[in-house]
Amino acid sequence: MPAAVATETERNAWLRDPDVQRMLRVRDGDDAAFGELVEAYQDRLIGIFSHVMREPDAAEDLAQEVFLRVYRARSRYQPTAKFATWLFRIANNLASNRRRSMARRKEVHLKTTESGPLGPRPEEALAAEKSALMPGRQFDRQEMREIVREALESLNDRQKMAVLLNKFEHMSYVDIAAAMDLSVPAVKSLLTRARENLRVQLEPYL
Amino acid sequence: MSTSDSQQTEDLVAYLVAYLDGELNDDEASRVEETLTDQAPVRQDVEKLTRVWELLDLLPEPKASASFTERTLSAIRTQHAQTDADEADTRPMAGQRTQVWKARARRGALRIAGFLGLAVVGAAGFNGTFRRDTAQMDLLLNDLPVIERLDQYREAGSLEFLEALNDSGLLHGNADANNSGEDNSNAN
Repeated sequence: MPAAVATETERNAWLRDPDVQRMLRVRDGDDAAFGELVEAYQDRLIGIFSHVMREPDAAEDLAQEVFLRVYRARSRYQPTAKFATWLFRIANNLASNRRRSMARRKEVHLKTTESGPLGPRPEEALAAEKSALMPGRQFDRQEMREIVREALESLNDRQKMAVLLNKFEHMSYVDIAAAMDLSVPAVKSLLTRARENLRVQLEPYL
Repeated sequence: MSTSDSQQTEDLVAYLVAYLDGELNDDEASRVEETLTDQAPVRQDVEKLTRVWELLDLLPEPKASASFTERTLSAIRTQHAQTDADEADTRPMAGQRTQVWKARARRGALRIAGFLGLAVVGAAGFNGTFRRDTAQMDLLLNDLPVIERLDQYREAGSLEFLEALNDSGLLHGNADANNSGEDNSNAN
């Protein structure tokens, strides 16, 4: 397909996105449309941030900051992707910035590990080991929830974001790549390693 | 397990994950499905990946607090109002452009007037200085005869003596002789 036609097709796909249409109305001065976008995405953003940042207060602050940035950018808005892709790109950037500033302030919190030869941190390995000692025990929903949360925490930041966007936002590899400013093969690799890591962490509980 | 085996395993897992995510094209999906049909261990891996993925549904789904929407929209309205106020100072709205141009014209006219004023003051100052210097020149020209003979007059010693010589007419005679030719002092 010639490049010009493909670009036109893509543009039409974005324009068919109802949230892109809402954002275009915001650009043209319709503040009610912006309220609709806030209500449509607030829970989704807070959900992502709560898992990425592990701080409920930070999740709402960051979600609000995302909307502020969207609103500030309204006059320059030109749809080049689905609205959700653009929104979560802003969210991903904000989360990265917040993590960097938190690291600089040396706040004490449980840090995620980098996947690779170093493996899980000692405290995470101990938690996994303790659970592994009781393979036959039935875990209630709350306990399983905590185990799953810790398994998610064992992923590095990029793996975690890719998993959350894929799982809870049902984003394609192409959209995740756009949101995270990565190539599609990089996203594929991230998700492969993330899901394999999760399998290793959670297989004893299956 | 060798490196190549590890790579093959990772490649297989990548295909399985992409298959589960619906990211394979038709040919690739068909090949995975053939593998799943033929190889029980691969089917078990897919089963585990699927169940682990479903466990993520146990994660909590935090919702926005009741006041979040209103707080967010309020923050945006505040920022919007502040931005409008800031822009009003720096970038006038379309309706104020005429006033802005008038203000600019006034400022421009003041600048030009100031420049001209400086020029006038400068010229006046020059003129005053020129005139003062001209008057001084006139004085010097008037006193030139005295200035030319100042050394001789100093030899006289006092002004009263010079006045006496002048009254006696002796200076006039010398003056006439000087007017006809060479300096008498040189002749003598």
